[in-house]
Amino acid sequence: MIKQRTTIFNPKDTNDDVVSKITREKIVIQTDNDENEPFILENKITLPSSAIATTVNQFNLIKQLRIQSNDDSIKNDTVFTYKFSNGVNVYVIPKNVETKKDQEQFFEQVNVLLNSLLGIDVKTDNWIKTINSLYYHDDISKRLDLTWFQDASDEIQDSSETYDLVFNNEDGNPTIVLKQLTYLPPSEEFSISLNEKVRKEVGLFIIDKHISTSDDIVLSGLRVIFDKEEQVPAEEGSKEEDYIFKTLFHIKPRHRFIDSTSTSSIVKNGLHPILKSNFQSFTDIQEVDILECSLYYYINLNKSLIFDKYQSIPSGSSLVVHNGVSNLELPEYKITEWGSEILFEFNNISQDDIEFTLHSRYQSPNEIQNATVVNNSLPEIFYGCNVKDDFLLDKSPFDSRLEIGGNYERYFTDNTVFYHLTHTPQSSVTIDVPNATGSIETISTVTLVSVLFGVAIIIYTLLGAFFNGHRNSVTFEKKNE
Amino acid sequence: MFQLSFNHVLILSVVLRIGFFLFGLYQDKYMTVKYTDIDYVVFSDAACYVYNGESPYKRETYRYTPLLSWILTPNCWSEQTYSFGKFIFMFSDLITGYIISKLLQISKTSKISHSKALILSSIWLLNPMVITISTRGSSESVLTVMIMASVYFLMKDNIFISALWMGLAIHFKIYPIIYLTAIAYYLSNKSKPFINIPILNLLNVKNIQFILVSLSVFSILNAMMYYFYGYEFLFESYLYHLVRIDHRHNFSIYNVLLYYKSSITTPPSFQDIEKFAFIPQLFISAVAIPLVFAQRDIISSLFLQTFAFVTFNKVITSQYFIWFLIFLPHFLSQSSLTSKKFAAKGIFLLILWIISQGSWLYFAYQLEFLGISTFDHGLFYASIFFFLSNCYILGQFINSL
Repeated sequence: MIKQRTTIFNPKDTNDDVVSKITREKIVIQTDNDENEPFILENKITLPSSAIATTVNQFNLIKQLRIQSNDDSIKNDTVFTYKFSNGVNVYVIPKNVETKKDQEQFFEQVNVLLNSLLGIDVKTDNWIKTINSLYYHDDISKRLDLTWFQDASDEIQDSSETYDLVFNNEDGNPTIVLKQLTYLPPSEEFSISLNEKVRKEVGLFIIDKHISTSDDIVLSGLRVIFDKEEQVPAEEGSKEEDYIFKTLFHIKPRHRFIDSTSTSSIVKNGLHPILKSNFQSFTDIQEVDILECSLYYYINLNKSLIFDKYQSIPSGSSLVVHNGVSNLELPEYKITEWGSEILFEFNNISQDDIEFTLHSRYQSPNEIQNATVVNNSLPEIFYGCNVKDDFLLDKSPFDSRLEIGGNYERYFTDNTVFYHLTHTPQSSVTIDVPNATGSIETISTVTLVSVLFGVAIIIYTLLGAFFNGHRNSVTFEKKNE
Repeated sequence: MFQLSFNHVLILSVVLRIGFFLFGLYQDKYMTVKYTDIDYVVFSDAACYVYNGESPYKRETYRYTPLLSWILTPNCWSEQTYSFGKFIFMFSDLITGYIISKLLQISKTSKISHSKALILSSIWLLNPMVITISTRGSSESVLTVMIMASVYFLMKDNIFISALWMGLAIHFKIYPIIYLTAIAYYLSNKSKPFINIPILNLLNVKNIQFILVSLSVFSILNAMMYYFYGYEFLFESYLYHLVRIDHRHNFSIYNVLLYYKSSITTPPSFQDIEKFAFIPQLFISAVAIPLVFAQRDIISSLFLQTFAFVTFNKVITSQYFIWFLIFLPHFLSQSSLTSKKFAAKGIFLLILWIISQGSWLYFAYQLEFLGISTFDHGLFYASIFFFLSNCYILGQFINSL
């Protein structure tokens, strides 16, 4: 059976007056009118293989596939964990791929899957290799195609571009787990109703600010379940309270936010733009569970930008991860992979700015515009800290760490938590790369004529020198006679 | 009265190199734009791979003989020895200057005055461009020592040693192979021919010995390097240069065309000009010029050949100018362009070369550092201007001998 877990986070101090109606078949939530602190909704839908619109064998070579899309619309969310690069991030692990033919089929299957889910075409050589999977990134987030989700499609927020989808086919019975994150519009009613084909669990929570710290968040609120089999019998005189389970639980979040912002931008420098991030350093992370911290910088770099690992590592840091394109010379149109991912670790935790030089790859000539605009995802700047009681991290129902995906997450141990800086609205990594604007016919013709003219000048003078030299040597010989 | 001697010039050239080197250390440490050439970083990284028992070709963009990385392994010993390679390059640069002055003394028209010899030697020894190139860490001077040593022993009629150096030079960088035809032709009247039949009478023990020894050294070194590093050595050191499409801007007349060509998959066949670029280049530099000048004046022939080779090359950077600059002092000692009668013309040619190069550099600066698209209306026409200027200058050089 399809399962749906809908968690609504109310940023206010109380849930009073939030539930405007509740019955055994429906809950209606009334959001308040505060635009600055809107309600956040996470929708988690688990589809068993029987509910997926495909035959099992169609994806027999895919072990696991994860799509993480982020449109960067939801900021500083302390409960849910969607802290990955803006745009779309796709990870895939193959299984039973032994021959070249298997390989071709595997990529074909992945392409079919991505085409049906995202409407994108990812070719075999667009992928890069990461620590345990293949990885594809695009800086533009994508909306999911819901036709795949059949009976559950009505329950999915089709406008959301921030989601985390895991397609798991490890045992041959494919399942999909989709988590979406979205704001609930202010001053509106939002309802969830019984659906016979979907088991629904709805939670509405606030953070108990009196007893919560950023390493131990206490969520209190209510839960309701809409499931034909578990349904509370409808009896005369049933009250709203009879359908509600009051709930309180603790979570130890893996991703946390600190009160500091970072501004990332490009300093124009011709073909060698400098990527600069300024932020207020945060050396005083005081949570009791913290053991030790380092500063990290993670970025997915578009293939139009060259990162030179020999020269461009920011001062005071070491390059921990560099996957993907490493070629230092080829133009953009000769690179097939989407780009590269980079992770720096800084020795000095009190660092407050990071900059490094990039190099632009040559772009295809374009008769219409004299520069190609390259948009890149923003870098993620965070402190990675080892913590005590790390076994509690994955007990959180909102924890995102999996065997696959998560951008930088896979490069850290299970006992790591991440303290993130927030991007300021001014942050942008956009570069104009100059390109040629003429036509190859003109260039070819002028080059050919010039070369021929140059050759003619030299041959003409050489012939003159040859005959002069010959004449001189004849005269010399005659004189000697 | 104080008279400037060669030793004074040599001491001054050493002082200048040390000064440039020290300034480079300062600039690298305190300024945003580094003094040290990117190539030096590449050599040093490659040397570190060798030092750690690995292939120098693990370093992306290392496209030289492994010999160079072997020589530079001290760069990796410690931070203090990182500049070891630069000392090698500066020392080679001085040796090259020393051989240039020696050749000026032993050339067939050695009647040039003492002061003229000093001025001509200074073209190399005190040339800021030459000094900058070696102190920034470009390895060209190691190659120039080999070539000049070969020429020196050739002039001394020590064919075997000359050929050893030439073989080594060709292994180091392939382009000196164009000198083989010139030297073989030069040697064709230095000994009795094997057979007195036209054309075949050009062959004698000296030029056969020179060719065989040069090619043997070249082949042995290549076989050795192939044994150590396999196909990677062959590809990176030699084959890459045949298949490379250098789209990044450089002085070559073919550059903008190559950029366009690299961006389309199936260009019309008539646009494949660059595929035939080697024909005029090799014909002029390895056949036509030696035929006219090799027997008259071999060093001037080598100068003209190199100048032509660089002019028609598919890639030209400033470092390539060093290739012909080594022969320039000798050429000028023989050329009428340094006589009073033609001095104005000589100066005009120099200014033309500088202006044509400067115009290209102006557009390259706009593209590289200001991000302005100058490919079509700036760089392209500037590279044509530079090319045609070089052809005209080469023509005048030919006329001046």
